[in-house]
Amino acid sequence: MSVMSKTDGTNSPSEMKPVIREYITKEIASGRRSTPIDYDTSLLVQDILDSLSLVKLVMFLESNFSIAVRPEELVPENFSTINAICAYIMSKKGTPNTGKLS
Amino acid sequence: MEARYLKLPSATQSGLTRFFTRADSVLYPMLVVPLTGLLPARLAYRVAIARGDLLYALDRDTRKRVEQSIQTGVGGKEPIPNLPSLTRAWFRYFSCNTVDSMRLLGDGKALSRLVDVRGLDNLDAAIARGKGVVMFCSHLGSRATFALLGARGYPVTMIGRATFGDDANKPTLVRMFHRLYRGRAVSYHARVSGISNYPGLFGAAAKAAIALRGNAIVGIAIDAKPKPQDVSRPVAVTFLNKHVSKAPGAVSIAQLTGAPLIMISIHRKEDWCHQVIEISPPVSVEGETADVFARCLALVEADIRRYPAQYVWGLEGFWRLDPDEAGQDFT
Repeated sequence: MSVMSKTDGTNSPSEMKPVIREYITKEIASGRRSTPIDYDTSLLVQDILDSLSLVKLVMFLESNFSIAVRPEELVPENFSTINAICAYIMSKKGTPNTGKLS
Repeated sequence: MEARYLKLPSATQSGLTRFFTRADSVLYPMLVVPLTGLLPARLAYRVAIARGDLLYALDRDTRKRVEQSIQTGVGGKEPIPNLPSLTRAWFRYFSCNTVDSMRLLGDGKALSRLVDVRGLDNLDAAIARGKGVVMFCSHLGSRATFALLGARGYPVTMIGRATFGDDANKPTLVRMFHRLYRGRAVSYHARVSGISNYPGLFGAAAKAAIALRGNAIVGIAIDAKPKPQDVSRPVAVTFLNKHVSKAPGAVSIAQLTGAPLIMISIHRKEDWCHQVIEISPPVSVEGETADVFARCLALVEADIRRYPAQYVWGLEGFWRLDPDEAGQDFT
């Protein structure tokens, strides 16, 4: 699936995670990182996400997963790893995160 | 803000002067400024001017720092003939800014009627585009006056670290002052919650983008030193005669979100009582982020050079007493 393709908003975590990882790898970490990004790689500790790349990621998530991120939800816990991002999206959709960890 | 820049380690001042400046840093905002709220505007600002002149006369360390900062940043190697009067004006400027904060309380009209706002049509046209507005500025002029846009009903917010009293490095009393007067007043008039980018806090740019999505005006001072969370994208520029790194976040956010980018300039008139807000037409964001940012920074630098006595020279490395050190690239 292309990172830029729009989903229908009914994804499961197992469908979301590769999409988010591909976006982060190609659009945010491109050229800055040689090792692959796992679903539990710390995006903040490893400086993959900075202030501006978080803007791009939020716009991507809103556009692709039909959610609206609220300012108070912009906390490290929701964006620390791809798993955390998926859990956050699922919580926005009112569905428990049942996807498997990488 | 004021005490942060006036209450400095003092190596050469007498004990009496040190006592006075320390007492002043508490008594002026906590006692004198609230009392000026009872006075007519011109008289209130006269009190502020007198206090500024007194500090100029007594606080030799700060005076020296300001003189040197203006000389370094504006004059470079060319001597500035009116440097003493510019320095004295700087002390007046900071004293008057504190009175602004007091006059912003309530509905803000006590301050609003002293401010001539030019270019509101530019702001209205930008807001009409529906993508929010990124409004860039420097640390020139009064922050309370910026908040006047909120008092006039514009959906304004600011990205900043000191505005809301969250700077843990400041003394408790100063933080209390920020919360009671500046922070409370500015927050009250910000129609959208303020966005703090205090080091360690998360997601300031994304919060700005969300505010822009709601068609808010997001104010960003582009002359500040990059925060730790912004260090991955610095732009090397020459600013006020120094080679420095700056974070081009204002431009990046505008480019990412499609929000118009406009400049706001605030300065005091010669009577110290009245102020002017100038709002520019949108600045083009076409091109590389670094190039657009350099153009924006050049605009604010030109403004600082027009009003060097109204700039927060305590920023960055201008504040150093050693002339050689102050002239160095500090990045």
